[in-house]
Amino acid sequence: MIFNYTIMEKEIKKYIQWVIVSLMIIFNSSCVELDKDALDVLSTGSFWQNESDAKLALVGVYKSTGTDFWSSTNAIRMDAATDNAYSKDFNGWDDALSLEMTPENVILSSVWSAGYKKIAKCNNFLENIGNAEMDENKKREMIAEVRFIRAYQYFWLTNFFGDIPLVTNILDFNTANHVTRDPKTTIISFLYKELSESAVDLPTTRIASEKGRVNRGAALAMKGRLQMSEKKWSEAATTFKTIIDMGVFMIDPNYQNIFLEAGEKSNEIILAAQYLPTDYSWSQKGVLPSQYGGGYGTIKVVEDLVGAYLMKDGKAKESSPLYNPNQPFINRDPRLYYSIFLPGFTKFQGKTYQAHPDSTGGDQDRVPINSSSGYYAKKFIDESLGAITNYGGDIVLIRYAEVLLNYLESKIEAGNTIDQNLLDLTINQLRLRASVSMPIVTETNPGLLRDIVRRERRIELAFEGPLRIWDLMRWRIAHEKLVGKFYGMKITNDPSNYTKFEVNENGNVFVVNRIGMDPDINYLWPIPQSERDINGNLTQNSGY
Amino acid sequence: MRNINNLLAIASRSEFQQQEVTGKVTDIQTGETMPGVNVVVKGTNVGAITDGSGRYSINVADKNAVLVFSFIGYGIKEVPFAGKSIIDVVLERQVTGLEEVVVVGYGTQKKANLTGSLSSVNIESFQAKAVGQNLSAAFIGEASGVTVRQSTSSPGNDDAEIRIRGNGTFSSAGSSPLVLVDGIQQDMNNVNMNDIQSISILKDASSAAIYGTRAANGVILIETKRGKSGKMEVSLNSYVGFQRITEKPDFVDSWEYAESTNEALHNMGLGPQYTDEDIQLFKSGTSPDTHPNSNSFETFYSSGNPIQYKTDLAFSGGNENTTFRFSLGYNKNNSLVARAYAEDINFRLNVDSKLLENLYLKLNISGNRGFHTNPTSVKNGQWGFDPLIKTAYWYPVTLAEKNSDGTYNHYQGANVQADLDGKGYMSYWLDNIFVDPAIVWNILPELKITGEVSLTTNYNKNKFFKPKFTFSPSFSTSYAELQQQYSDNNLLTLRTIAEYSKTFNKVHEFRVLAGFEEEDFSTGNIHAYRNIFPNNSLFELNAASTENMTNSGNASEWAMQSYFGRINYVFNRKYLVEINSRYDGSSRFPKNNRWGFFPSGSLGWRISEEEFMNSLTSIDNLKLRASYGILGNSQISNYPYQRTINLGQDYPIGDVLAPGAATTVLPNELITWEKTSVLDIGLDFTLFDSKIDGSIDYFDKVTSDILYSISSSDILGLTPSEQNAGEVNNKGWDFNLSYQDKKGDFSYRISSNFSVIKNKVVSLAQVEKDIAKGLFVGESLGALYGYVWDGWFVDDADIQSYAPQPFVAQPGLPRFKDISGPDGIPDGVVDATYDQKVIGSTFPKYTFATTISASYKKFYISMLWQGSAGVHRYLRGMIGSAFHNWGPVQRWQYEGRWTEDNPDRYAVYPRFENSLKSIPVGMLSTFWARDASFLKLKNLEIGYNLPSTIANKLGLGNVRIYASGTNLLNFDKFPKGWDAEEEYGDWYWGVHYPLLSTTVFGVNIDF
Repeated sequence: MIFNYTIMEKEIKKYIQWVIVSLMIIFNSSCVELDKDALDVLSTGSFWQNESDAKLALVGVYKSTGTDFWSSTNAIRMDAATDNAYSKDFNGWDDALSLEMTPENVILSSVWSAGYKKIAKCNNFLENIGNAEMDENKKREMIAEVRFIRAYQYFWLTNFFGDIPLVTNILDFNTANHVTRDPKTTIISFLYKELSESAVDLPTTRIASEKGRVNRGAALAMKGRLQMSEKKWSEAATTFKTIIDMGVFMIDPNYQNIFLEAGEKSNEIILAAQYLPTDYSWSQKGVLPSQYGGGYGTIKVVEDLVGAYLMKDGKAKESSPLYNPNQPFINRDPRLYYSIFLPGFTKFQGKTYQAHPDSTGGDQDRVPINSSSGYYAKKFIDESLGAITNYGGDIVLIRYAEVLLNYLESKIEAGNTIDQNLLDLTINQLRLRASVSMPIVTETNPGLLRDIVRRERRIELAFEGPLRIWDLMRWRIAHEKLVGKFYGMKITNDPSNYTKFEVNENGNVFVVNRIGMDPDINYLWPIPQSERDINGNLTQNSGY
Repeated sequence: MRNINNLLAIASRSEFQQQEVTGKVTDIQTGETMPGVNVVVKGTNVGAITDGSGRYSINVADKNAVLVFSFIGYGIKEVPFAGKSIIDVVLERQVTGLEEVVVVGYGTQKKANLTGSLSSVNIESFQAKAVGQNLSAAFIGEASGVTVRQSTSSPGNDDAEIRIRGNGTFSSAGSSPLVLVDGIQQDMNNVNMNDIQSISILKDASSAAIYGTRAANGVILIETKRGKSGKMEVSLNSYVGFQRITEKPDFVDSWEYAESTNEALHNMGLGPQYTDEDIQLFKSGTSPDTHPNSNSFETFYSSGNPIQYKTDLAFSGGNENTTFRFSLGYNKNNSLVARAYAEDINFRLNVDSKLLENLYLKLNISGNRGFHTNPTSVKNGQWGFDPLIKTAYWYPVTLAEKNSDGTYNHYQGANVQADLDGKGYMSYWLDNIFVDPAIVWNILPELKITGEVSLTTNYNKNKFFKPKFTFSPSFSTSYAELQQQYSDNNLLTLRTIAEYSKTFNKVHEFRVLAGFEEEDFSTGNIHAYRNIFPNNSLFELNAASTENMTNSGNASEWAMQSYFGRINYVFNRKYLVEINSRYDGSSRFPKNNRWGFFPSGSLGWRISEEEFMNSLTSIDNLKLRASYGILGNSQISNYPYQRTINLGQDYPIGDVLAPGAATTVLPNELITWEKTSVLDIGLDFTLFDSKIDGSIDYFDKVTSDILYSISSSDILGLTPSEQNAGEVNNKGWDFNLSYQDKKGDFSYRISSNFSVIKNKVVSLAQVEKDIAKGLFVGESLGALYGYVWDGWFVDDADIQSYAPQPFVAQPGLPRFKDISGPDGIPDGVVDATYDQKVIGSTFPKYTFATTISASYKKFYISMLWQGSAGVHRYLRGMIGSAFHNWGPVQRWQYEGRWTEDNPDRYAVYPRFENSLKSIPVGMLSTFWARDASFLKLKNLEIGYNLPSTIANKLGLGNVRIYASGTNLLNFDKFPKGWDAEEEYGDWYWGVHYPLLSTTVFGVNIDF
């Protein structure tokens, strides 16, 4: 028996040892592949071949880079930098035009960064689109779109920062860290060329399935804005007239709707940043007062703006018999009701909006707690949805009403004769909007009309991105307007005997004291310190 | 398999008749019996361990067998069996650990023959220390040159950060050491501490080079316990622990907060918020709904019941052919916060089986299911535990959490009480399965080949749910939400190792090792989201509306191939030579830069073995050693060299989300390995009959080609990939010294380690500094950069006479020094470019630890003191700033603030303002960079071993009862409520779940 076992053991031993040897060989025969490709991204080698690639890339260019001027992020909020509102919030715009602006300001660097990110995407597209084999007309149109998007970013960047690096091709990182600033004049000439040329290749209208893509009107409108910034008034007037003569845009009878999801397809909208519920959305919650679903009420509106809205008779509240200081919100320009939450007056989601200093309820604004003024922005807010974080309403960037006001301002500043026809073509179209129906303007004296138009712009365009800042800068009145005490809602009818909080002579509560600005310095923003830390070639604007 | 079974049957039947040997082991000096002594039949797997009374029993099958007795710290004793049935032995305490065998890369080595810098952890004290805390945290104070920092005790997230000899790099490749459990890369927290047999920490190039490209930050080798043949051993470990918060910030009361708020608003040019009447009401407490004195911190941190339990049961045994050890463990760790806890169930089975005379199977199987959960905020869209923690600190003392009518208030939608009552949860399941079979073939007595396959799989499931919550009739959240995520990671390791060892002419000892290894890793995940549920009691995806549903998923892979080898040569027991090398190929690098060679060499001279040392009897051991080698680091993103276009850059066109693509990353097609060269010179000594034991090491570690995303101008518009673009140097000294002695029944040991590390950035790409990343050539990593604070402005005259500041200067705001200008000299103006400098480092220069242990008869006590110095940290966010986003005010700020009535140049806090605006109060300066040196009583344990007479009567073997505490005392210079050791990383808020003190009561029983 022992003998047999031994033989068997020997055989098995041999067998197992062969198994082992083969296993070792298998281990050694590299079954592991060291060439691993990324699994959920495309590789450049196979991209830029055809029209569908070009389209993917085009959409990628449109996608927001965050805090640029083509997004919801800065809509409404930028008015905190103006005499319309304030925020006193982290990342607030409050210091944008003030002595408190410093190169470390985070708004500043985020705007710069998002703008240049978008520009880099455009440059990348323009450098590669040549490789795609596709219909030449379509290609030309896409190129024009991307050139416009790039010009749009440069327009705002140079407006705020002055001289900036003009980058029109893809950089490597060493070059990017050593660029220098180009004079603003160079940027401006570049923009003229880009906007003029892209206007030619862009279609005048977009079919429904192309909604959101740039059209010719947008390119011309930006060109006109540029001419206004440069005070080339006659040229600006011509540009705006071209848009008017295209006949594709018109004033929407429903003012409120233009800023809501329901009115997104309005013919008044020339260009809007596109949003969709959930998939590509923004948060209404940040804007709403806390009474409605716990909104954060980040943008607090001041009495200075509320008071600027005319009375129903077309007169300022100071001179109109319709004004009742105890019921200040009745008989006002309806645009006030569409644009601002008015305490004790605005009905929203079936509840009257409430704010007062003696409020006890946790949800009602207790003015001036949390720096509340009692007024909040309401434009762009969809009442039917409330404090949601996944709102899909578009953000209007350029609309026809502004084009008409731009045209009128350019005509005034160009020294052209103003007649009733011109007024009826422009400002009175806004006044006669069905949902507004304010008395028409008949003033043709340019000096007097200028003030009317400026007030109309402030009312009509409140909270629409950078427009109020742009106006204050263009007119060079920011240093006069943005200084001293600002007030919120009226909290007492007996201001002289009221001691609880500081109030003005009308009983409006004191909310914020603006430190003011140095006109020789603060009309330009400083180059962000974070950029100068990296790139020693970037010089600083004077005074910072 | 059948063949093998038959074979085993045959093998055992063919054995010689066995005989049982019993005996007793005693200590030669004290005469006491020694439990836990290893008894092994030489050259076999047959073994036993002495019981609580020092007795053993073992079966011997061979007349010529030799029994080997060993015990840590004692000399090994070999006794021939010679047919005796009772063998009693005495063991003698010996020169510490010289004969001890330590685990090194892919093998073991006699401690005496080590030439590299390796710290072998004392497992007993380590395990004692690990009681009640995360395994990684138990490394604190364990070895010189090893820095360990634990920042939170949050169950499930309480891992400590381990650094070996400094931060070698600032790249994403990281500075974490490689952790191998039984030779396979694993998360050490998947290992039950009671299963650990040994831990080795490889610190220099010589010992670590065999791990090539992953060894740059050092290596931690953990080996688990294996079975021993003989009578089955059962051991039970169990404890219960209680946690408490050690540092509570002191927030001011509501009336003080109201006054302070008005003051801050006034300072910022805003009107007041509270009237005198309000402040009176806060004080009187008569209107708790409108004028409360809330304390969300207490609400939050006292909502739970922070008890922890742990029970482990292990069985080990086997016969001469097959041995096993099987363990089961369970632990649960409740937190200070209600509904937040972690639990873990784990098992481990280690089997060693002799298949044939020269063929062995070694099988390791382990698995665990970890689970942790915590409440989440009820706020729509906001997930995580952090928001609750934030709110606990941030919620205004002036706002009631809950009103008397049962409704809830909220501060910007947040309220901790609502979050706790809301029953929203975030739960994490982590299943780990590890299977590792190996075949060992002793082809010749000198030559051994091991083939090994291991599979490590982790399955992770996360489920986050929040209900629709009604704060009050007028305010509720919009809908219930659910997120679910599944992911898995798979690592396959294939390895073949050949080892050859032979001694020629009795004086030339050779050991050679050669191996080949492959690793293949893949990971992927799927994520889904829905909201709007019919009610709060359904929380599965299908129960929700499809309207807003989203899903996503991704996957990635990497692979490596490696060849490695080692040669050890010892001449005449005196002169030691070791050469290690590894050749690694990684999928993370482009084809032409894919392979890297990492060699190292070391020499040792056992001076004490020389004849001329014979007269110096007080020197037991003296060894000089030196090593140099190159290591690599490749733990970077998986595809850094590939030019890719990211999908998902979608944008709505025509009211439909159109698919988009964009290049967002600038690839680096030339990327290659990060390299670390380490020079180490060390001296080991043992003196006066092992009473003194110590070592001194000098090291110089240079990491070059650091993979680093250089801060690029935003004008680039893309995220650049890492470049090989930096060099960092860590130079320093490690000291270890221990003293032990014994007087009668009293014995004690003092063991200290101390490290000095000078960390320096040698070069960066083309720049001298990268401010955004805190990198400055010539300075330490983690440098703090800011202005030099020169007090606060006291009045307008002061402002007029001082250099203009980079902000609108006002009394009570900081006064920064003009330290330079464009010409390198002070230019009379303070600005960001010229007047900021490096003002501190967050990496400690000195770290030290001392363990003092003593025993008297059956009692013992042990304590660990640990600390570091030469380190700074910023007080940031809510920790340093009052009114951080209108957050809380702490008493030290309130009482020491600058006011018009207290215009103190050096007041402990500036004038009150909402400091969320970084300017000017929060601007980084020497005022905020605080000395973060500390000294802690990290651990204290007292225990008692039940006399064996009593234990035996109870039918038990060894019984030990103990009490242990961690984080017991803390001395530092931070304000009350904050721990200088903790990393308050989040710039915005800077708070997290704190580090707790744990007190544990436990028992160990061996049956």
